[in-house]
Amino acid sequence: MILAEFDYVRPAGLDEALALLSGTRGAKALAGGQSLLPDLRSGADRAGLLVDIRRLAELRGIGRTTDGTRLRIGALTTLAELATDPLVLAEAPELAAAARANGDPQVRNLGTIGGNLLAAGRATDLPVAALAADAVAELAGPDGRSTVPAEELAAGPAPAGSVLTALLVPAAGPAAAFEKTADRATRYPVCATAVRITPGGPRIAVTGATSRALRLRGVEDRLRGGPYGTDAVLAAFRAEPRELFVPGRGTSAEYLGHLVGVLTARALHRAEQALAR
Amino acid sequence: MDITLKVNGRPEQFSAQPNELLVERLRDGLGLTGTKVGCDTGQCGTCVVRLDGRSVKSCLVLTASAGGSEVATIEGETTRGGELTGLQEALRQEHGTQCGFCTPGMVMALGELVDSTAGGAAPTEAEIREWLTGNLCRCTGYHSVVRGVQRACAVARAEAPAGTAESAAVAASGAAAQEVRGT
Ligand SMILES: Cc1cc2nc3c(=O)[nH]c(=O)nc-3n(C[C@H](O)[C@H](O)[C@H](O)COP(=O)(O)OP(=O)(O)OC[C@H]3O[C@@H](n4cnc5c(N)ncnc54)[C@H](O)[C@@H]3O)c2cc1C
Ligand code: FES
Ligand code: FES
Repeated sequence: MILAEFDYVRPAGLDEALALLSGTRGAKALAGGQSLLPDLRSGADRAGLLVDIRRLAELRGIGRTTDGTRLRIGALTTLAELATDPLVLAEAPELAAAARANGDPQVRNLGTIGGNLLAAGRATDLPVAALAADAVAELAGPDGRSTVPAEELAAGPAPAGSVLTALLVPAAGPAAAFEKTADRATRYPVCATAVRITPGGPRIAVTGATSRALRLRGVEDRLRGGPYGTDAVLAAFRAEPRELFVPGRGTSAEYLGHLVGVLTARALHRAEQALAR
Repeated sequence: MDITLKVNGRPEQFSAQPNELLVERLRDGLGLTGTKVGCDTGQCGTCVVRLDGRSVKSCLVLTASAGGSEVATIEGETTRGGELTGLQEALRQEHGTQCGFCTPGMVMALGELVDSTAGGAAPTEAEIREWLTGNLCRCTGYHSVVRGVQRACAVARAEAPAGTAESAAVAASGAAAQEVRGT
């Protein structure tokens, strides 16, 4: 039962949704509801009006951009769709793997990529994959459209009154991977890592072990040129400042720092193997 | 607000508060108490129903947001004569249900796996176990549930061409037992 009271509206299109979101106090977008409804029930979040965008067809669909170098993934793509889409599996495998590792089949059937990228207050799986992929979020707001790098999106709340419309993801081929240690009870990440091997060096992002989803540029620099053996990766993580890793529920900072290093070594190994195939 | 839903093929029309959850409508409004509430926080899977074909947790869906959709609950699974579906029968034969509290949610969740793989290869044991991550069971330890799904898939595949249901079930139970012990 949700004790909090709110109004509900289902706009017919994106423009109507934007007008409602920017013109109503306490209005919030409702997508799959898999974060928002538990948060409204527990009191962790509140809303005066839920603007149900789940059925807006213009925020769906996965395809290549016209120049072919990037994928455009609609914000309402469900995690289940992302996990099994052939184009995503081929060109952004870390995103597909992050979606597949999320919760359970029922959460993935309703949960959307926009919601997972914007779910506040808890480490989630997709932001790390978006960071490693160097993805860019497309937003629509009262003042028109804009783009925000995934790194900026992970750093702070999305601009109020705006709707995330799509994620633009550079196509990588198989050179990317995602690894996660899940909390046994909730399935949320204790920590997770995503990597992409690019001609300029590896891109490495982590979550759970750190205060929020972060690109680890220090680790990337130390590993540039490879090889990505486990010892080298763990040493690169040990060279990070100790304060980078923050303790979790029942997990010390030291443990998380080590665990996320091990996961990163695994992910780099997996991406290298996929590249060699 | 006024809402229309199709539940187990039957059109329903009613008025609901915006903060009403689908599970509350099904149980309290429509008297379909086969759908259970175990945790009310999205963790246990006893409330799973199919929403436009996909399995979802009905404690994590607003009735308003489901408006206009087709909902399938455990009550709709059994044909009018009380005969069990292939999945239900296979779960029964493999002792995949004990106290039964988790069973409606299990059947609705696993039904999507069985349906979505029907045209191709049967799901592997690992895929079945992965599919069960959203359903908690305090009794069975899951092994018998996994065998039930394997039996249901094997029976469905054996029935598709020739062969009697009986010999298919025997073959299925052998195959299922072998696959589970082999891992
Ligand atoms: C049992 C369970 C297990 C879970 N396990 C995991 C896990 O392992 N890993 C993990 O990362 N997450 C997990 N989650 C959380 C869940 O996967 C996602 O956070 C959820 O899918 C978010 O997507 P949604 O569409 O449901 O968003 P909603 O809940 O509808 O919205 C979430 C937030 O984003 C905003 N929002 C949504 N879409 C948009 C948009 N397009 N534009 C602007 N704002 C928007 C909403 O206003 C709200 O603030 C779990 C959840 C449950 C219930
Ligand atoms: S009651 Fe819905 S998941 Fe437990
Ligand atoms: S049979 Fe008792 S909870 Fe599953």
